[in-house]
Amino acid sequence: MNSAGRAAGGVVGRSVLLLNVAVLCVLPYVVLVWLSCGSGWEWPRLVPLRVDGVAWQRAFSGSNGRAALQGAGLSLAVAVCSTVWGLLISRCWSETGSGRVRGLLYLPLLTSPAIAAGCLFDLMARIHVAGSWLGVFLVQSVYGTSFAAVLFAGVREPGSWRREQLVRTLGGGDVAVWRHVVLPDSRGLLPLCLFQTALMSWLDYGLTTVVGGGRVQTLTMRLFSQIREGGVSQAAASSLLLTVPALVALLLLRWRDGWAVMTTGGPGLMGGLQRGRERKP
Amino acid sequence: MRAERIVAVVLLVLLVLLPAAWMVGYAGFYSVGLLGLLRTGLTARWWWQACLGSLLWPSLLLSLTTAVLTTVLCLVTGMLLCVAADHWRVERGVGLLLTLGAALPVSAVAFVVLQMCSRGGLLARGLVALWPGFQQSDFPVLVNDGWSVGIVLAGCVTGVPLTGLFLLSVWRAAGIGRYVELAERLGAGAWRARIDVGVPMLWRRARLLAFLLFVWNFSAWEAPLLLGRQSPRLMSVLIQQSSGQYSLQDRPLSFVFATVYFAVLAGLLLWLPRAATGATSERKSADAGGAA
Repeated sequence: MNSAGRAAGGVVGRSVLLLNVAVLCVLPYVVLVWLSCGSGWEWPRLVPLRVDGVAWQRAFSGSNGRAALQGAGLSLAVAVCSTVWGLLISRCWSETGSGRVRGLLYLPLLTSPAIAAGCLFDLMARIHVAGSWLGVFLVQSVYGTSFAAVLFAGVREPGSWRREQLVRTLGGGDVAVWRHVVLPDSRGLLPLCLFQTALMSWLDYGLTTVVGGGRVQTLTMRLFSQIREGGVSQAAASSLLLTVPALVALLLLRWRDGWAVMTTGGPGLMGGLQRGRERKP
Repeated sequence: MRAERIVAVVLLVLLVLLPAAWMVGYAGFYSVGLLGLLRTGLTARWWWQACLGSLLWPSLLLSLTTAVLTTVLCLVTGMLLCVAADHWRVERGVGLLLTLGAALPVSAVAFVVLQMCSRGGLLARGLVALWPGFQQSDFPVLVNDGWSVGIVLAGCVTGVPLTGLFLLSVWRAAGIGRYVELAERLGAGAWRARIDVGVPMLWRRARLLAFLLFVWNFSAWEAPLLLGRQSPRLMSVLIQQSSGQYSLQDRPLSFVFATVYFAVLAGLLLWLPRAATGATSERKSADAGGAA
């Protein structure tokens, strides 16, 4: 980009805008670190009564630590399964799929998790998985698989279909097709999909709270409990703990691909979709 | 190949189509009294009650306006960023900042907004420290307020990094800077070249993002749960809270609300192929133009 000669908006305007964005992006971290450092936040104190690391000690121990570990295991399982299943579905869909099927794939993805969970709870209860880790895994996989299917189908190019035919003509089976065509074609998007689906599960609250019925404890569930109980320092520590994997994943992706568009939660899924569409063969 | 297709179709049906059909069908049948513990046979009673009541329409209107406002604010900020961060060093720095912002989960952002902007929050405490005589009640109501300021703020904090990262990526990938530079060489002012040339090119490619961002804001739940009012509530909160959280008698009503929500979503989804096709064709023609 060489258009630096004449800047639009003037130096002051640009600086104000960039400063605002910097504040918008960095201030939440500062606030969270500040709040998590101490306890005793009586009005109108700006500094805590006691500066201690109690919130951090509690964040890694007891029910909080257990919830974090269990949530990490769940998000790993959802990420791996959703990516594989989405890849399989995307191959089937891009051969036969139409715009209407695309709309159907988008429906679970765009529906509010809290509303989807309210409607799916009865289905989960009928198959006896409501209030269990399996139930939460299944409903999160619905979202993860839809995302992965849309993401991978969006980057399927005509050339890959021809290469697949070539492999089959040369005597290759399904395994050879996956080894020589499918995986190389989707290699660039695999980390994005894995990270994004893992984050979706790691940060989910709507599906876990309704389908889990309070029996499935993840870190997000603990965070909302702490907010409701008024545990400011504890909630701030949990928020930061919740953010760390997302931050590491995003920085890794950014290091690997300087223009990766990925964020956490709902818009993150959409960012991933956009990235899939923008990626040129 | 055959086995793979069978597995794929089974997965498609079980993990995508069945849940999607179940969600819509379950809400629809429950709302007309054909399903659930309170089923009475086919009835429009719950629909009448919802349509004539004071919950549905204000919530729908509030959800739509909040979503429109947040989406517009995010897009405008993202586009201004593209215009402002047009030097590569600035662009890289902004990209890193936006990545930091993008890593913040919605629940953490909502918590920060609550702790900053409530009447007992850090901003009010700062004003008390700086301004003698400042009372807690002097601080404006920014969370759990009638104008949904807190929800919009949380939506912007989560939406701006995504929009900024995406638009900066598009600006660079499509070489929009070259077109802006060309317009400047042809005599356009720096600001006008960006507004008349850069922004329309960005918008054509960002329509799908705008659509998805709008839908996401329309469906937002965590932030409205913490930062919204009890009445009117945003659609997601209204549906979730009326589906038996306070009274089981409200459950059919919640599925009426859910059916209306799905109808709005379906209406938006009908627009999706147009947005996606428009974005793709614009990109192809721009790429062809760039290649030529």
